[in-house]
This record gives sequence, structure tokens and C-alpha cells, in this order.
Amino acid sequence: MPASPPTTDLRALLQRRLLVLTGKGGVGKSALSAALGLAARAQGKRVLLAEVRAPRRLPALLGVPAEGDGPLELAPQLGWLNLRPEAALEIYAMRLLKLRMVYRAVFEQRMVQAFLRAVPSLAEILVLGHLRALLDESGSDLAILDAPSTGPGAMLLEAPQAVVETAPLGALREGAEWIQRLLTDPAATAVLLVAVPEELPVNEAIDLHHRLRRGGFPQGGALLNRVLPDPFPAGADEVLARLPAQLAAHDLLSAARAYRRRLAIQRAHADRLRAGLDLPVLELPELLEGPFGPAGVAELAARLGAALRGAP
Amino acid sequence: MSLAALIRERRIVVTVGPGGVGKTTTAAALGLQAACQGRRALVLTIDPALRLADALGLPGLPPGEIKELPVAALQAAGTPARAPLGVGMLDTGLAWQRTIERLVPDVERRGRMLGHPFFRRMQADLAGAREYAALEELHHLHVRGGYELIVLDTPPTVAGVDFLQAPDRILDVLDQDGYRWLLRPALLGGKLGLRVLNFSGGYAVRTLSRFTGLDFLRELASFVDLFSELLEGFRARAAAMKATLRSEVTAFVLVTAADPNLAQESRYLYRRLQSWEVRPGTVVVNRMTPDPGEPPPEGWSARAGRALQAEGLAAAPATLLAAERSQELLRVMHRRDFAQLEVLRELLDHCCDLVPVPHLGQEVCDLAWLEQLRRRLFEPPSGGFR
Repeated sequence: MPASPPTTDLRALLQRRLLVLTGKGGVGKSALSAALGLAARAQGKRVLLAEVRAPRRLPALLGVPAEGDGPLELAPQLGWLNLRPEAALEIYAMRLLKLRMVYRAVFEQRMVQAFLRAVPSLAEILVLGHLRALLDESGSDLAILDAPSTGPGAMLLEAPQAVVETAPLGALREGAEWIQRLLTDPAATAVLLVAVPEELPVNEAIDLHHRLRRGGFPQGGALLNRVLPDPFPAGADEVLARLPAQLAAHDLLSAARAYRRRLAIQRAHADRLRAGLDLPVLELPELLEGPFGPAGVAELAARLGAALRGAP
Repeated sequence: MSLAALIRERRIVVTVGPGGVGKTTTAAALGLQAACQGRRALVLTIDPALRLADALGLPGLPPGEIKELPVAALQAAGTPARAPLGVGMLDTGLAWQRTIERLVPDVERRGRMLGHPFFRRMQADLAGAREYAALEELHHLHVRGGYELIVLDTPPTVAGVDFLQAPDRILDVLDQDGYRWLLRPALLGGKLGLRVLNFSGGYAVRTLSRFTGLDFLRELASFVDLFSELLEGFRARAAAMKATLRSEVTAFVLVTAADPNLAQESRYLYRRLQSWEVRPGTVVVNRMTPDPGEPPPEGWSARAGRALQAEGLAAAPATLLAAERSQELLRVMHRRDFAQLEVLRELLDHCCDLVPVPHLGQEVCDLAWLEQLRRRLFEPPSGGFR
């Protein structure tokens, strides 16, 4: 382990062209993708938010009603699209075949479905190819990909390499190489591992860290979401041990202990994450008030903005 | 029907739910309950979730094997068990291998199938492949007998595909008219594309090969060719599995937590069960924050803080303030969890019993803690948990 924990250089991360957020399902990847988008935009970046086969989750989190799959502008400097392999195949094939009529003849809908299922990694290649093409063409500074959760997320990133290794020369392989160059370029791309301080999310983040490292993907850090605030000062243990338990404050004492047990569990998992990763870990708070929505995303964006300015 | 009655009467209990809500641990507690009722039970979970081994304090439990926990060991951990408890982690690769062995007698052909790169990929990557292997194993163990109850812990939903779809999905991949039509030239001619036996198919193959290269399509064709004759076998087994899962023999238990992020996924799972003509018997809602009780009388904390400070505990005033704050935070979490429980009840159309389970304040890491969880599930305090 390094002598001092590495710190998250958010500013450097936002200089990349592509940030990919992945991690266990339900840890807040979408909310943090949206919040990062807002934080990057506040830095003057032109941002493209992308999700995969998850229609309109990001627009909903940002409080902007959207229809279809995009791409469209949710706000000035903030684009969005929902990546779907079927749509990407059409665009990709059209480039190659030129003629829509020919496309229709060859890629009739049922066939497209069958083909996407049959050829391993094709759906992933198409999704990433579509994103790369759009990033190049849209004039965006930064694309933020709200990737699928751990297993499918890793498969998405690994697909180009798998195709490069197995497919003979041809358009598919060339496309895969073109995407692979972007994904493995540390100056252009960073994967961010998202977790919450619980057992499985941390396990998955650590596994993913090693898996992605083997694949040669640059990793920018981990975002540890939903960390409970710790209001207790040093020396609290001794004070709580000395509090007379029989008093009117019986409930207070047991509540404090129950809360501290939760904090201890969270801290153990956070420590495990830090020990298991060779990466900086940025903590984000559990937002307890009200249902999570655009206000929560804005608050997370503000926390990221504070981290950008170097505040604690 | 109560959860206890389900565990007493059914032969198969399937836990379904989002990831990270204590599903595997709950499945283990259900199996333990059966052992406490004197039934021989097996808890079967699916790799790569090592949670079952962790929950039982059995770090060395190898995938693919069933370990029997004797009554004495269960009792030593403070459980009132009257029957042993079997636990096993499924090894997907092994389960697929066994499935192919049951269906294909020819050893040489079997070897070619198991070694085919597309098959290896399908087994590892295809959404539903793990789930299908789990169902195969469940069906096999159920038909073979030997257990009065099998608790199957399913993997969390992956990309919208849950294990109920798995047999159909596997069949779908192996039996696609679309690409059989597409690959007909290759399948009939043994050589791909250039000899055009079917005009449109041949044209499509030539066009596709511009994307993928011919070798790729040849591999695909040989895969379809190898596996298409297994379709009848798969289909028959899938039908038998479905019938078992839909019958009165089986109960589904939806395991979730009172987390707003999980509400829609829980509803989706419930709908999937419905569309599959099964109904969850019970919904277990884990990790509910208990009511943190009454705050101390006004001014008490400040006085106690000053008193302890006078005794030399400098941190006392800040600690007591923090204690009050933590009680408030727990109250917010408690209200949020119970409000969410009602949201969940609504989302699930008031379909079935919701069993709220208080947060253990500890992760289940051995049999003694599993017993604590079992008691919270099956022996709620009188008046119910608030």
C-alpha cells in the first residue's frame, strides 16, 4: 500500500474524453453519472451523458422530461442519449452499405435481433462504436457513460478486445480496434468504480478493479456513495461507556450504539475498499432527506464541485 | 400462507430479489428454519456468490459440492435444529457439463460441444446461462429426491433477464429461425456463403461476412449445427421445470429491502412472477431500521455532558450532541423505511404478506448470527416489529 492514500484528482479526470461509471446494481451509478455531468458542465465542459438500454433514467434524474432515445440536449452544454445496439447496428450498417433499401433487405428486424444475440460481443461493439462516433462528431468535450452493472459492464468494456482476438480482418475487427484504442488510452479514458459501503458492492468493485486492470483499462478512482455522516468526536466510546444506562436516556444510549454499529460496518467496508484498490476513493454522503431525485443529484454535484475546488 | 407454513409444506422454495439485500443469507435462514422443523433441507446458491459460505462461517466450501451440516453442529450454534442442513454452491460450468452429459451419450461429440468457443462464451456471458444451469440442477435434485425441501437462491436480475426467462432464452438462442435461415447455405453446403443455395440467405451471409469475416460465421454455423439437435431434449426439460415451478410444490419468496432504489426492481420481479403464473407467497423486507425510541428530556444531554466533562471526559458534550443527532438520523431512516414499506405494499398490489425484518446491526458471518436472523424472520416480538 502507498504511504499516503492517493487523492482523487477530479479536475484531471474531467480533462478526459470518456468517463465510464460501473459497479454493482443499485449503488447510484446513474445518479453519480448525472451529478458528474453537472459538475463537469459547471467547469465549462460540453458534456454528453450516455446510458445503455435504460430508457430515460438520466433525464428523469435530472428532472428533464425526454422522449425517445436521443441524442438530445437536456440543458445547454448537456447532451444525452440512450444507446441501443439495434439502433447502432442500423447506423453502422448504413455507413457500410450506403443504401437503406439494402439494409432493410438484409437486416430485417427479426434477423437483426437474432444476429445481435448470435454474434458474441456484437451488441457491445455497436453500442461503444455509436458512442465513440457521436463523441467525435458532436463536439462534446467529455462523454460520461453510465455503464451497466459489474458483470455486463465489464463485458461491455472487454468486448472490443474479444473481437480483436477472435474476429478475422474485416469491418467488425477494425471497428473494435478503433474503440479499443479509445478505451485503453489513459489520456482519454477513465473508468470510475462506484460502490456503497456494504459487503457485495465492495467485493464487486474490488473484483472489477482487478478484472479491468487485466484488460488494460485506465481507472480513475472509486466513488464510495451513501456514506453515513459520523457526528461522534474522538473519545466517544469512553463517554458512552460511562453514561448511566438506567436513566431517562436509555433510548438515546441504545440509539447511539445502534448507529455506531452501522458506522462501524460501513467503515470496515470502506477500509476494505481502500485496501483492495490501488486507486483514490472519493466518499459521497447518504442523502437522508426526502425521496431521491433532481434535488439529490444537484446536491451530489455540489459535493463533487467542492471536491473540485479542493475543499474537504 | 405464513412463511413458517410455506417452509413446513413446500418441497421447493425459490428466493428471488435484487442484489445486495441479504437474499442468500435469507435463503440460508429459510433452510435453517426447515431444519428446526425437523425437515431435511438443502440450500442451493449460485456461484460466484460466496455469501452462503460466509453466512455459515464455511470459507472452504468448494463450488459444485454439497456439504451436510449435522444436527449437533447446528445445535452447538444455539439453534433448535432437529434435522441436518445441506448447503451447496452451484458451479455453472459443472452444471452445464452435467446437463450435456445427461443429454448426449456420445463422448466424442460431447467433447466437441463443451469445447466449442461459442458454447464456452454462451455459458459464461449469455444472460440466463447461469440461471438455466441452476434450474437444471434444481430439477435434477428434486426429481432424484433425498431432500424434503430445497431452497434455491437465485442470482439477482441481470440486465432485465431473470431466471424465469432462462429456459426460453436458451432455447431461443439455440433455435433461432432467423439465423438458421441466415446460415442455411453454410449448414447445407458445409461451406459458407459463396455457393448460394438460398438467394436471400446467401446474400445476407455475404453482407454479414463483410462485418465479421467468413470464419466467424463458419464457427457460428458449426455451433448451431452441433446444438440444434439438443433442442428437443432442452425443450422437454424446460417444460418439466416450468411445470414443477408453477405447481403447489413450489413457493416463491421475494426478498428485498426498503430502499427506494429497489422499489421498481421489486415490482418488476413481482410482475415477472405473475406473468409466469406464479405468485410470491411472501415478501421479506430486510434491513428495516427499528424505531430508535424517545429522545431524552429537554436539557438532559447538556447536563449529562457537563457532568461527565467535569469528571475529566473532555469529549462528553460533543458525544452527547452526536448521540442526539444519531438518534434523529435513525428516526429519519426508520420513517423512510416504513414509508417505503407502504410504497412497496402498494407497488405489489397488496398481493401478499410483507415480512419486515429489523436490521441486524451486524452481517451474518456464522451459524449463531444466522440463528438470530431466523428468529427475526420466524419469531417476531408479540405485537409485531415496529
